[in-house]
Amino acid sequence: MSKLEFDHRQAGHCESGVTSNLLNYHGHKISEPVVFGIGAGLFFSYLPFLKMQHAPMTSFRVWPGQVYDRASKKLGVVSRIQRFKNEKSSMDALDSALDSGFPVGLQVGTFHLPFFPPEYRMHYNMHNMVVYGHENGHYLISDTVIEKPAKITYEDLVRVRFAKGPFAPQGRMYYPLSVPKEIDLIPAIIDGIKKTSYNMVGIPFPLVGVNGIRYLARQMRKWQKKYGDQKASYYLGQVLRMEEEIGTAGAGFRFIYGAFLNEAADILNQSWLKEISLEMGENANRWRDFSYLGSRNCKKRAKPEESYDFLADILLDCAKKEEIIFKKLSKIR
Amino acid sequence: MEPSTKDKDASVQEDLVYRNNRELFYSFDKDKNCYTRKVDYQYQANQVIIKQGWDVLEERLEEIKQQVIRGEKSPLVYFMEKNQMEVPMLSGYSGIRKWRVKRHLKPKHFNRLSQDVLEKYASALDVPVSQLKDPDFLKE
Repeated sequence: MSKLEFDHRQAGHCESGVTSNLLNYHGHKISEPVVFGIGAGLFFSYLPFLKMQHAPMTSFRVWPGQVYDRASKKLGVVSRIQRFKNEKSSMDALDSALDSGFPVGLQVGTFHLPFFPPEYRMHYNMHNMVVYGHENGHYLISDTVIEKPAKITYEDLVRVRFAKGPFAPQGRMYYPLSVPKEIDLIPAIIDGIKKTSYNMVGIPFPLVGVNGIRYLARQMRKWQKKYGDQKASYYLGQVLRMEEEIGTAGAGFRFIYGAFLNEAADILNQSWLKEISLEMGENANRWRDFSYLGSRNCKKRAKPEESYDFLADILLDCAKKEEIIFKKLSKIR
Repeated sequence: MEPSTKDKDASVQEDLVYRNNRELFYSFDKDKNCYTRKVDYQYQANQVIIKQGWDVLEERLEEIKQQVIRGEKSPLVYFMEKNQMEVPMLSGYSGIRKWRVKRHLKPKHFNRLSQDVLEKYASALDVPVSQLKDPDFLKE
């Protein structure tokens, strides 16, 4: 039986929220956007050969786990990260970490999470949450999506930790073992910005980064002819769901990244970043237009100016804006 | 032509389908040039696309239901779809090999399953064995 004094704070994105909350517990007030920026969480990829819920996979973020791994490493945090084959040993390891006074981050599947809102009840295996105690056979959970701290039984927790399917969490748990007293954010931030710039404009591969956005735009123009109205609309819906649904903080992480640049400008004392954070804000609003008009298309209320061609043009506009932004950002020092 | 932030906000509170949980959202205020955060229900426009996903699922489920009634597919297909699973995932949760799961999607093989195997499927799909073997919609 143990219950740690853990601050439950909601966040826009589960993994950067969990990382920020864990660091906060260890005495460092680092905001969610800054963690997200240092962890180089922003990305874009469109992988039509991978199907998720019967539609091509679109992602606005890097691989799960990367934000925590990268941010903690760059900040000099020593972590313990474990995966398990055996269910019981995974729960024993969790108990002993809690009893030694460490709140623990877990990767879980959302389908069997009892406290999750039913509209999000999907097999999404890359969700993150914090366990901060256990009492009377229940575990105490801080989930950044949910308004209040939650509780879960031993059996349910085992089930979500060993969810099956793509990106199965395999009981993955992670927590900071020791955190330096003084953290220098400056090199970590510069490094994070460089990494994201490289991911967005430096990879010579057509399906990722800015090129990926352009590729999606080209494909989108053909959807209606190729697949018919219904399937095209479903494919579009899937892109929008990945962009706006749970855990992106809106506009496929573009808002949160802009907020990061805004904070970074003050921390680094480089005022040109402020300008770029405004450009990122405009860009994020453009993505919002895309999802807003796209949702009208899905609702079959589309006017001509909300056709696939028109939506693809918005995407090209976003790609152009992001190319300019990240080319400038890649010169940071 | 472009929606202003204002009319997006105005539509937020009306006709919401989902009011189960408030989330944290970031946004960018164009007029004040600043980033803001607020806790609220998912935007109305986004609720539309979330609902679209569920509607498509519902339609597919209805189609499968008819196929099960006509005896073309086993009830296992219905419950698998209801749980949004595909063969590899059901195989993972039930511990039954993929090629066997595939066989059991046909009524011929499904009807010969032992209690033991049925129980494994039932617990993977959160449904009592009696339902799995003989779903309500077959009785009507």
